Amino acid sequence: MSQRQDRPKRHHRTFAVLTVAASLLAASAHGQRDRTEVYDYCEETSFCEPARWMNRAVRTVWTAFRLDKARQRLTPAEAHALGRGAAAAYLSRHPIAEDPSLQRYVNLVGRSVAAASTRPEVFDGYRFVLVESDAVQALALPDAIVLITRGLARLAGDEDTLAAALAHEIAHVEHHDARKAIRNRRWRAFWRASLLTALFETGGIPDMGGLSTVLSGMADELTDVLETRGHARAAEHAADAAAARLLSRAGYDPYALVELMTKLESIGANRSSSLLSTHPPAHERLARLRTLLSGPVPRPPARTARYTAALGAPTSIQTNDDRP
Amino acid sequence: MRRIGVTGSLALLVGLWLIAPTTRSEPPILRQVGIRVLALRDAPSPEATFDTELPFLSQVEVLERRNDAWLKVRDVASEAMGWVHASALLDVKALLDGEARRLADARQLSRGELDLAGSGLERAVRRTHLAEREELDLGYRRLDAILASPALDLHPSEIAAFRFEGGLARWPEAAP
Repeated sequence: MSQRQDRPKRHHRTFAVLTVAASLLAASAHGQRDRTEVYDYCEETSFCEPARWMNRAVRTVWTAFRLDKARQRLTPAEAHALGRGAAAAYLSRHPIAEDPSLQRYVNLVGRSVAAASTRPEVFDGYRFVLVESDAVQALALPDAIVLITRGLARLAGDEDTLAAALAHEIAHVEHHDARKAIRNRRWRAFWRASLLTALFETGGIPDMGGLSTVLSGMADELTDVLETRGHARAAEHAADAAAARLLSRAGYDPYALVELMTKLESIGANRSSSLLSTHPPAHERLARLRTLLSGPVPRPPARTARYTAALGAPTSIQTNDDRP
Repeated sequence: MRRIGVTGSLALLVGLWLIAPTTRSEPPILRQVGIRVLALRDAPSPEATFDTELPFLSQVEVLERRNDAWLKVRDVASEAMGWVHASALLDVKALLDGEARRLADARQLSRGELDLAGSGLERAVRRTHLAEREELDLGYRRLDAILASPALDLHPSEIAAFRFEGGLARWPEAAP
């Protein structure tokens, strides 16, 4: 299925210029290199070298177009396949919490917040999966699959703060940040491969193959990027601001975001949490959030009661990080 | 006399040209459903009830717009009408190509799967993914199990009841 979305024209122009530049670089360097090599069939015909030159150029342009998939908005079907692939890569290393009522509770909170999003409708609806891990981590994947660890859900301590953690991830879905997270990495890989191939004829430009190969490769990269590097700093701050808006619209206390940051900051001193290592410093996020939010609002006891029933009473922060 | 005739004809043509845009009817705005199942709601609100659901890629006509977020639409096939959020519709017409087209041509997709073109592509990606990394089989099985779990199958009325119990306000309808 194909869906050409409304990409700005300037992106097309930039992409075309970069592609042509990469093609010429790779092709011209190969032309020079190839002149030093002796092939019998090249001696027999004068068309061999230009043909090889063209072959290399076409291959480079084609690879660039394939990599450009990471720049485009994904179609619903592509996001669906990519999100599932990335989730499978993560879940092959982390078990899912075996408690249907707990999974249901997390989904009720998450979907209460997601309905307030500017993008409430996604291909299969928002799905929140609680992962059995003490690490403090959450990942928002394409197709609106949000993975959250028990460690983070327990750290939240109450429903509003749990909603704040989920709202931050929903904001990443709203902003298509997962695709953007791998875009820069893809382009770095492409330029590195082009340069190596052009200058030293080593490494080679990767053969991207068909769409399924592109997407399965992107799925692996996505989990790797989100677990180890996270989103760009600007994307994290934008997600915090959007989360505050989401919580307010959904009826939760937006100040819960400040409480979440404070908790993250408090564990930062004695724990190298995954969430801390992939996000901007909590104090920096706190400073920005305090300019947006006034103060806590009363929270009905019913919310605290059902949080405690699902996840247990808040406990002291654990000190062991089981990040893979 | 001849000059009057020419001038009159020109005036008539100019008059017709000026009138034409006002009398010409606007072409219908047609869009496609971009999610697996789309509920046609009775009002522009996430909590509004619904009787009709449309499958992925159904064609709808946009009749009215509120706050740039909610659209009143009519299903082209069944004439059913209702409110939907704009994020549920595709901006441009989606066509099958690539893996989904290849699978459809090879008759590896059933009619239902073809309608849900996403499933075809997802299956192709999974096959490629597993061919490259066998160890992901466990991850896919875990994911399948949780996504098929009744725990994640929430009816809008359950979410509304959950919100009410927790003192969360009802969603207001989008203002005209």
